[in-house]
Order: sequence, then structure tokens, then C-alpha cells
Amino acid sequence: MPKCRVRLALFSDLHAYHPSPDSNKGGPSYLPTNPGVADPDPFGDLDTLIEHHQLRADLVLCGGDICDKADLRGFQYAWTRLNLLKTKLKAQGLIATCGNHDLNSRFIEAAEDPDPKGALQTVQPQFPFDDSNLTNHYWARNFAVASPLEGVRVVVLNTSAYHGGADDEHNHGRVSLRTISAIEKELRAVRMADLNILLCHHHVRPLQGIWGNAPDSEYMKKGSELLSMLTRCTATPWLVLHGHRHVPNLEHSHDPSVIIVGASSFSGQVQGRLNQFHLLEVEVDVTATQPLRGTIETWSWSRPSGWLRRPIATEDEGFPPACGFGSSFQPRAIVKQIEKVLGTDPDYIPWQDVVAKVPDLQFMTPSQFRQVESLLESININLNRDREGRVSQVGRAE
Amino acid sequence: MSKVASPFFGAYNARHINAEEVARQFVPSGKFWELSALRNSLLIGPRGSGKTHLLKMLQPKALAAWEGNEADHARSKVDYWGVFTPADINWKTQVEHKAQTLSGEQQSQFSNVVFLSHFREAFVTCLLQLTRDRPSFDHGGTSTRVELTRDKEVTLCIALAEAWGLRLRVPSLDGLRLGLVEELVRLGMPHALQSLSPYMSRLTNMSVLGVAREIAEHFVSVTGLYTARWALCFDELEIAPQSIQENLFQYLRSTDQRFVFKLAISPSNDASALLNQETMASAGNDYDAIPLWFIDQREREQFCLQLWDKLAAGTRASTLSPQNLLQRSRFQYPNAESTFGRRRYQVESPWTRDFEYLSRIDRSFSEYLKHKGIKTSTLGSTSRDKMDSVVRKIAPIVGFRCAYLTNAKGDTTGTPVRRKLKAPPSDIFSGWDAVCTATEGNPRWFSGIASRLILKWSQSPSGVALTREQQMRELEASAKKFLAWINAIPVDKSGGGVVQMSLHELITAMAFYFEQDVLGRVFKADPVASFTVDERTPDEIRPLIVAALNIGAIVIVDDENVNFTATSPVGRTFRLVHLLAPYFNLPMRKGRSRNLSTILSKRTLLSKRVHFAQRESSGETNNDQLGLFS
Repeated sequence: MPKCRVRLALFSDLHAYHPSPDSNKGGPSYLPTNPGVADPDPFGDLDTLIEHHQLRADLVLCGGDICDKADLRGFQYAWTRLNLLKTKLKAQGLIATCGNHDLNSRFIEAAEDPDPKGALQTVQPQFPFDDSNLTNHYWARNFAVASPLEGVRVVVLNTSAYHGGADDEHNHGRVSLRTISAIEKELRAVRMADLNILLCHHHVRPLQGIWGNAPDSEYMKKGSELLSMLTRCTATPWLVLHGHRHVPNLEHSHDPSVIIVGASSFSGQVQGRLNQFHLLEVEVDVTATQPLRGTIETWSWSRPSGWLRRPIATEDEGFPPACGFGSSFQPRAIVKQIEKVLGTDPDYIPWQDVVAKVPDLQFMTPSQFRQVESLLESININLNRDREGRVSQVGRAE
Repeated sequence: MSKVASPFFGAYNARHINAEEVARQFVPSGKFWELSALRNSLLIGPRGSGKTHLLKMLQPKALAAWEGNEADHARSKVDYWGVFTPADINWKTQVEHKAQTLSGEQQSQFSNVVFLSHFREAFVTCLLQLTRDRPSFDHGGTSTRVELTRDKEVTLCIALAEAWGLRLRVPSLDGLRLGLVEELVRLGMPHALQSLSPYMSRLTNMSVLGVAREIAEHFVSVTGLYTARWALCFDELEIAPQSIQENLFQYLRSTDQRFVFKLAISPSNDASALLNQETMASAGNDYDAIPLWFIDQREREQFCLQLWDKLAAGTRASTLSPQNLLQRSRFQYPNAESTFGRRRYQVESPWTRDFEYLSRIDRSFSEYLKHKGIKTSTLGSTSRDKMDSVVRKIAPIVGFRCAYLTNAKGDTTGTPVRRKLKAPPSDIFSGWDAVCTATEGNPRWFSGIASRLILKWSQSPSGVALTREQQMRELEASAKKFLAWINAIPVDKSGGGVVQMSLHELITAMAFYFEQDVLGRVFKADPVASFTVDERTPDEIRPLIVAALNIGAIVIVDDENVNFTATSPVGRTFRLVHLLAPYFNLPMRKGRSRNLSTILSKRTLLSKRVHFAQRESSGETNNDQLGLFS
């Protein structure tokens, strides 16, 4: 039995903006402040979804870029909606960090009063924490360590803390060695948690470049050092949640022992990318082979249909409607188990029956699952998916 | 008529919604009960008249999802399983595009094969609905459900896939459907037409009934349900390949007890021509012709009322009747001030005031009353005979003219002039009855307009009633939107001819003629508001009439004992749809009929038509005086 089970609602890269009455151009996102009847309204649609499916979460987490280009009215609107969301999901806490877009690091219309983070310190409810000590710590030390639930610890890191300084600093994230040391010191001073989460905006390690073959330069500098320190310090795997890329990212490594989930954008307009949010069901059992595992349910938004589970055409488009992390078995071992369940005669089995017998299936990453599907096809076992892109049946006709 | 603009109130098109949503939104009219009988049926109606919705309701899942007493009655009555085969103009265009490299006969063969595969997919969808694809709240019971064990499903799917030559990846009904989809997708690949797959090749010699029998027999052999009956429902039949249409029309005379056919078509098109061939089935004998427009006003109002209740459910509007929310219509039925019967015409009643006012400003009207021996001062005491034959008959026209006409300053001749109105009179184009009448009981139009009215009312701070002005604006906006849609519809003009007219121009010309007749300087008790397509109507105008009928811009007036599917409009009488009345200043009445050739022969009229168009484009409001009629 898992020692700890937590349900997390993950949102990132909202890019809320206040529409200019003089501009005929479309906005940077589908999140204008105070949308009218004819405007896109992902938050309004989310209310409908939550009500319809009775969605619940223990914590709401936001990976930053709440507004677009330091648009304070956009930030205020989205931050208010995120707080309302916490209530609707009946969550016990809302934990957020800021992104590069939230800080006025380029001093837009602020030449006489430059203060990249100043505006965010004026919003209501207080950002990022209700607790003033934590908030002050976050702004002063670039991180804060919160314990929103029994047995759950979240390190909230500001990876844009140095934006507004050196010229090209805003082109990437950063965590300094001093900050890493400070985090370590604080973690060593508190009781060990069952589940440790790092919430940050920038991705901790370089990923594939977004533009052509150019290498990724936007990642968090000293991110690897941070991961090493975290896992060394607590001797447990960490769940890292980030945003920024608008491209789904799911990494699972054993040393350092981390699971990294990079969220899709909630409402940013990027061609070829779905707007998504995610519900993570995380299980922790430090005595198990895989101490940290979980499932990720993902909903995608489109203007006419609102939030739906929908299939993805390519892996860059977004997360599939259901995936996971922390499987104890590699794809070949899983395929053997499915083969055994199915038998040798022509037959099919509803997917939920297969999952009941091979539970690790639900903890496979999208990449692992593609390998499973490919291996199954090679032995004439095929999968059917429903309209929402979820696997519904597995069978062989010959 | 093969390509059309985005449909008018298209958001309310049942094509886009699933079986459960179809059931949730469904309001059964008398047409549904006719359709649900175990007989062949031909649904005839213009766009938006609810053909798709009605056919989709015969699907097992829709019937099972439907709630209420009427639903129970329907489930007990419908003793067949409906296979709904949709059609889509975009789908047809894609198939034709793909087939254009083929020779004539091959093209036809290709279209048939694609359609038959599409039909198979529809049949498998029905099997899924009967077995595992059930609604969230299943009210269906045994009449809409079949218990099919997994091993039997596997047996059925493998047998069907073998019979079809279909590559089956997962031996389930879902897998079967996916296999069919993959076959269609494969056709889109390069060189797919040069060498058809074994699956497609086997289909080339099959017919709709052959395909249906094959599936039905396999299903029976697995389930043992030997009495199973199926309703094969085909929507928008005019889009199907011609040979399929021929097949289906012939099947209306089929004697195979296992199948009934439910076909839906527009009122007049090439498919209708096929149906009218002598060898084909005949209405009444081989099938029931079910026209989807309302002849009976009460039936229409009742249907609109049920639709309203559906739309208002869950909103604040659900606590009020539409008659309270919108009020009654001033000229349709008595309102609060003027109840029915003689009291309606008492001294100082609104109707009496209208009679008095019009007789004061309009000499032709006062002379008409004098000729009929009716005095406005004692209107309420008019004999029963005259009350029935004259007063009640002309009252709506009197009210209509009062709303539009006034006396000219210093006029002593009793010749009225048009009021300077910025918009259609809200007294006429408002109220529950006007909304029902304007929308003709067309479910898509009614839902579109009623939803907006409910939304406006919900947003109004007073929360009492929508003003007549607000209602009129909605009706006027809908009329404009409909006319804009009409303007965007391409009509085949390949016939050439002397008279070059667009559909929009034709409708405008007729409307202008009717407007002159009802608001002319001389009062007419029964003004012209309909037209008969006579032999002298130019040939090039006739396709426009057919197009107008199919999109619902005109409706058949002589709808008793007529062949609804006749291809030629000659000899038939129509009127403009009442939805356009606010835009063209027309009363929502049938009126007298005039030959279309006469209407179109008025040269002055045609010039006025141009004037109309110019006025429209300059943004002028319709407040011209009666000088127009000189």
C-alpha cells in the first residue's frame, strides 16, 4: 500500500492579458481579462468541466507565466481565477511560482521606476503565498519551502530571480549555488517528508531545442546541481513540476532520482500545441521498487468544445489524455504480461481488465507506452482507442 | 445547389451532436409518431426542419437515453432498430474530387463503394449502440439493448471481417468499425484507385440491401434473434450517389420483412425526379410521405411551446411561460386589453381604435366599411355574420396598416402615407405568437431565436418581460441574417435565359410586390401575399423557386393532396417564409395568390427592386411614403 497519495492539479503558462481597445490584433493567449460572451474563456469552461466531472484535487500548482509580458491586469485576473479554482477543486492549497513573463524584467513602461518584481508584490490575494513570511522569503531568497499537506513538502523556486539584471539573463532560468546551499540548509533543518516536490518555471535540464536544430539555451542554469543536491539531501525521489516550454516533458531518471513533469500551456497561443491542464495522482511508497509513481490525466481546450480529453497527433502537441510515470517494468516485460493475459486465441479484452491484471501499465510514460504498442503490433496484438484517445481494448484477430 | 454557405443557425444542427444529446434536446411532434411506425417513410423538409434530428432519434442509443412518458411510449412502439446513415456535402465533395481521375462508369462505381462502406460503418455503429455503447442514463430496457457476450462478439466480428475481406486488428465491434475507417483512409492514399483493396473490390457488386442482409444474417446467427427488424435511415438522400438513390427508392416497394426504410430528402431535387418515375414506389401505398412543415397553427404552437420549455429548462426563464415572458402578440390573438369575442371590439378597445384611426386617415378603408355597412362607432354591435365574414377577417390587416400608415400633413384627400419608422413596428413583430409564426415551427430557427430571447431576458435587470422593441430587434436581425445567407447560396444558372436574377433578387422582388399590395394607397381586405408558379414563369426562374423551397425561403401553400416531391414547381402556390416579414414589411399571413409571371412582369416593380437594393446598401431605413406606388 502506498504510504502517501496526493492529487495535484497542474497549470502553467496562462499568459493572461488585458486586451487593448485600440488593437485589432489577436491576443497572445486565449485568456483575455474578464472575457465577454464572444471571447474565449478557458477558466469558464473549466468551471463547467469541474462541475460535470466533479473533479477534485488536494493541491493546485501553477508553474508561472501567469500573465503575458508583465501585464499586471492580466496577472491580477488570472491569479484571482486560480484562487477561485482552488475553491472549486476543493483543494487545500494553491502554490505558484512566477515565470519570466510575470516579471517586468525589460522595464516595460517603467523606465522611471524600474522594479521587475514590484508589481507582483501588490496583487491581491498575496502572491505567491497567503503567508507573509513565506512570501517574503520567496522574494528575498528566491525560494520558499512550504508544507501545504501532511507529509508533502514543496520547494517553490523563482528561476527568474535574476531577470532585469544582465542583458541576456531573461533568456534563461537560473538557480545560484548560494540558493542551492540555502535550500539544502533549510531542508536539512525540517522533518523528512513523504513526497517532495520542486515547483519552478524553467526546465531544470536542457531539452531538445524548440527552433530547428539549435540547442536549448533557456533551461535553468545550475539545474542539474540543484537536482543532485535535492535527492542527496533527502535520499528520496523528487517530483519536479515546471512550465515555460509549452511542450510536454516527462522525464524519469534513477540518479538523480527524479520524475520531471513539464506542463503544457493552459492558454497560450502556440501553433501546433494543445492547451492543456493536468491532474496528477501521485503515490509514494519509499519501501517499494519504484517509490514514486503516478498517473497523469490531461484535458485539452479548444474554443468551440471547451475542455475535453482528446487524442494527440504528435508527441510535441501535448500530453495524451492518460499516461503516467514510475512503472517498475520495462516495455518488453509489460508486453509479456499482456500476452499472457490475452491468451493465444483470437479475442479481445477491455483495457480496464488488462490494467487490473497489469497495473504497471498505467504508470508508463508516453515514450514507454509507444514502445509497448510497437512491440505488441509485432506479435499481432493491437490496441483500440476511444474517441478521447484513451486505450479501450486490446486484442488479436488471428 | 451542391455547395452552400455556412448554414443559418447552424449551431442548432443535429448533425453535430451525439445520440444522447439528440435525445436530451428532442421534442416529439406528431411527425415523429408518424415516422416511428413500422412502415417505409419519406421525410420531406427544407434545411433546419428537423429531418436529421428525427432520424437520429430512431437510433437505439437515442431512444434509450430519452427520458419521460413519451419516451416510454416510443420505446414500446418502436419494434425495430434504427441504423442511421448520415450524409455530408463535404464528404460527397471529397469523394467526387478523389474520383475525378476515373472514367464515368468507374466514378459511379467508386462513389457507390464508398457509400456502401459508409453504410456498413453506420450499421456497425448501430450494433455497438445495441450492445456496449450505451447512454450514461439507460432507460432503454430490452427494446433497445441486446446482450452480446464477448465470445459471440468476437465470432461475429471475425465472420463479418472474413466475409468483407477486411483486415481486422482487434476482433470487436470497435475494431470492426476502425477497420472500416482505415479502409476509407486508405482510399485517400496515392494510387489507391488503381488497385482497389480486396475489401473494396468485393463491395463493387453489392447493393444497400445486400450489405444490410449480410450484416443482419450474421448478427442473427450469433444472437439467435430471428425476429430482429431494422429501420435503415438515410439522411440527406440527395447527396447519395444516384444509383444508391434509385436502389433506395425501389426498396420502398421491398417485401423483405426485416427492413423498413426511412429516407429524408429536401422538397425538390434530382432525387425527387427519380422517385416520380412510374416504376417507383408511391406515397400512401408503399411509403408515408411526411412533410416537415406545420399546417395546423395549434400544432405548431404546441411544438414551439415544448421546444421553449427545453431551452428554458435550467434557466430563470423556466419559471415563466413564454406568453408571460414575451407577452401575447398584438395582432395574432387577443392581448390582455382585448379579450376574445365581441368585447374585443368594444368602444375604446385597441381593435376599435385601429378601425377608427384607419377609417379617418384612409378614405379607401372608410369607403370599404361603408360599402360593407359597418360603422366603427358601433363595431362591437356588428351582426354576427358581418363580424365573422368581414371584421375579424380584416382586423389584422387593419392593425397592420395602422402600424405603418399615417395621414400626410394638411391632407384632405384621405390618402395615407408611410410613417417614418426607424425599424419594423414592434407592435406587430413581437410576442409569443409572432415568434411561433415567424419561425414557422422550424426547430432550428425557433431554437436559435428563442435561445437569444431567453439569454436577453436573463441578462435584463428588470427580469419581468422582454420589451416588444427587443423582440422585434431579434426577429429583424434573424431576418437579415437569413437573407444574407440566401445571398451567399450559389444557384445553378447554367440554363442561361433572358431574365438574369439571383435568388436574393427574386425574393426581394416578390416581397416588394406583396408590400405594395398590403400597404398601398387602396385598402385591400385580402392582399396578395402568395404566388403561383404559372406556365408563363420564365424557365430560368424555376430553379430559383426550387432552391428557395429547399432552403426554406418559401413554403408550399397548397399543401393538401400534392406530390411533395415533384421536381417542377409549375402549378404550385407558395408564400415567402414569415421569418422574412419584418425585413420586408409584410404581414405574417398567407394572403391571396397571384401568378409569378404577373408579379415579375411589372417593369416598374423591377426598377423598384433595384431601388430596394440601393436603399439597403445606403443604410436607409424603410420609411418611404406612398409616392412609391405611383
